[in-house]
Amino acid sequence: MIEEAEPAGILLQGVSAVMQDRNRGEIVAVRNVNLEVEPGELLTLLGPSGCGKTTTLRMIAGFQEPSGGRIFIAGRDVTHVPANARDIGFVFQNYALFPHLTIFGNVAYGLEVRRWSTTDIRRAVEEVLELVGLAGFGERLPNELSGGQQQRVALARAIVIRPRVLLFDEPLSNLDAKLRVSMRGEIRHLQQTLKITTIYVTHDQEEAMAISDRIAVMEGGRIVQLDTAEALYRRPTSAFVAGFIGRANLLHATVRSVADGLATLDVGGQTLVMPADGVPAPGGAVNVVIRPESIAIEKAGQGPAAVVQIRTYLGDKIEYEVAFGGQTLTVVRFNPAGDEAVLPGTVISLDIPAANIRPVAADS
Amino acid sequence: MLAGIGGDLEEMAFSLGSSRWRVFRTVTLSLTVPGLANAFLLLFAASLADFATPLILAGNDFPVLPTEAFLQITGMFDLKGGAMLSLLLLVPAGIVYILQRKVVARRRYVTMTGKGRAGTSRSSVAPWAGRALMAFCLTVVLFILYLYALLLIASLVMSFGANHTLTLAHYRVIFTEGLPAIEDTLIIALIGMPIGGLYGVIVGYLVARTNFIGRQAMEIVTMLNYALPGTIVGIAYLVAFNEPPFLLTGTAAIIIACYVFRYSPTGIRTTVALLQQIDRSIEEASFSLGAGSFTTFRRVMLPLIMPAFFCRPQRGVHPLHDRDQRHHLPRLHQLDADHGAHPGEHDGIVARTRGGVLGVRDRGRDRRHQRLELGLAAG
Repeated sequence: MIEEAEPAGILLQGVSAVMQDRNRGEIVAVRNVNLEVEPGELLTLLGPSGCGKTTTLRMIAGFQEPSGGRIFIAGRDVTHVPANARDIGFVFQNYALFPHLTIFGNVAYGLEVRRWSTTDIRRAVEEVLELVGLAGFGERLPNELSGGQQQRVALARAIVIRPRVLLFDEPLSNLDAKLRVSMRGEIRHLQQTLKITTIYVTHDQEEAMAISDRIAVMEGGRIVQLDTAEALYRRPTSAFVAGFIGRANLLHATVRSVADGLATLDVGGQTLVMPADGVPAPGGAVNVVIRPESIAIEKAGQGPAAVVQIRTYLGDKIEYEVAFGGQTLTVVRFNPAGDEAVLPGTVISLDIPAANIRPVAADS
Repeated sequence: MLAGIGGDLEEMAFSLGSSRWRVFRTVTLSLTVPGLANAFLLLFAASLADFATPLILAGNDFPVLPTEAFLQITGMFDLKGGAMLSLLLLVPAGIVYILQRKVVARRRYVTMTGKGRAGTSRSSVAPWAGRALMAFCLTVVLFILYLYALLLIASLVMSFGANHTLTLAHYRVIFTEGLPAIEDTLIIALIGMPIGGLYGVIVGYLVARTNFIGRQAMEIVTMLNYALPGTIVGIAYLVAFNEPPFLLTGTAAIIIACYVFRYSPTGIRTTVALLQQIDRSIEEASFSLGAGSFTTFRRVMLPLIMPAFFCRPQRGVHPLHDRDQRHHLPRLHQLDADHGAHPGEHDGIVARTRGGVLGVRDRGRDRRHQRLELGLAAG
């Protein structure tokens, strides 16, 4: 078994990256990012393409120097330390296996660089290939392996050197959906077994939620919210985060009154009640998000009225689009009963628990 | 170049409904742009500098700059005029260099990403087109063989064109009086080859992968030698190394230096073109595993670049790689034995090997070309 190295924390202080583009001039890819990764933690940088997550990761790896700010690994300032002296393992999106070396040669590379003895290298490489389920593949060349196998080799190559920090750059995006699910489980399991501090970059929110201790959602070069998957889902602070972690309806409303910790909102003449936390004074405008799956539909209830416009039957669930106070809401009903045949044009009433309505920052 | 392009890109184009010709034109050809541009640059510079061919073929009827410059210097002892004419040669070479950079700089040509692929591209040429190309290549080969046969006959007769009596007299002269010359040529070539190859790869790597002040200037300067006629370069070396402490005139060292620096552009341009096909993440992977830039160059980049220069080069040049060799050389034999199981691999290896052979042949031609040039300069 591979020995455990002492897990290292990672700290980013005001890190920025300005890049030169031939056509567009200066681009600020990362703006003033502050981030603290606990030792042994798996933290995911999640965001759409171009949000700066990969650039942030590359700066932590040392492939790119930040134009501002400082980076610490295990308390050591590594801002200007080259990648090969940072004690990291990096798993690339395109695997980046050395095409001229065998699987054994690829995995042994980092150990040879560290001048291990031949017998130690052989033992360590065999152990790690066993660990990733590739025992006996040592003599093959990378192009004789499937995509999933190649990514396992890349993973083995990164962990065999027992790095203090493991960095993943969208490692699963080249694999098919089924393989992605099983590989992410393996990555999480390995990370927990080896207790390596890990930063994982992905644009897939489900992947992020499945494997992370915490997720940093990035947009436009900034970290817009950093929390556990559950907290991000339950308490998003912006419409962007709400829309990126799960699905969300965004409603524009006006505060009618605030009393007893509850706020009453006006949405185009209809009424919604929600917790008063973070809601402006009466008369103010507020944006709220409501998860489609947190809304119940009643054919004749006490709640605010809405009109069904589109009904989509999906087997395990039914999706409705309903007109509500001049805006559109998506409603998802899981495990629908046979009598839930609410056809377009039907007037229904909505049942939205107050706790499921969240105020978010003004539109971004 | 071609061996580095995955069959999947061509297959992708086929799947989108492209015809074979279209795939070749828009995918295969487009991806080899760095190679084509480099070949174009080299050929252009070489023809600018070519001295012997126009002199022999056209004599005085078709004066070109290199011969004029040479005659200015040796015939009229006008060093300044000759130097001026030589400098003129650099103008078109410079223009072509800039054009070539513009064409290549616009896009990315990375096809070697470190993500291995199976798959073959053997269907990318239509059967009839394959036969036509084969016939064309065969014609060219036959013509070349014909020329060599003429040379062989000429060497075996008393006087070609006049007296066709068979004789070995010429060989007797060569292998008695001419032996030192043959030996010297071989020795110089043998010493110059590894030095020149390595120098070319190193400079090419610096040009393509690193960024430092004066990088582009270095790239241009390394090209200059190539655009100048060998005679002019020779004279320049003569003048430069005629005084202590750099008194090299008359030694083998000056010839080797001249070879290395004058013909290094072939190596540099090949390296640059190859590097444009190798994804940076392969280097970064090496860095992340703790290797410094020298180790990365020696253990990863050099083995990836070298096949372009030699056929399976690591064996002789890099004994340090013997361990890796053990891993994949037997593999090749095995693939040879059962290529039915891995048709794609087999194809790739054959293609790579052919590339290597062509590379070696190219260098050989350079040497012959240069010897001819030096011979004329001497005579």
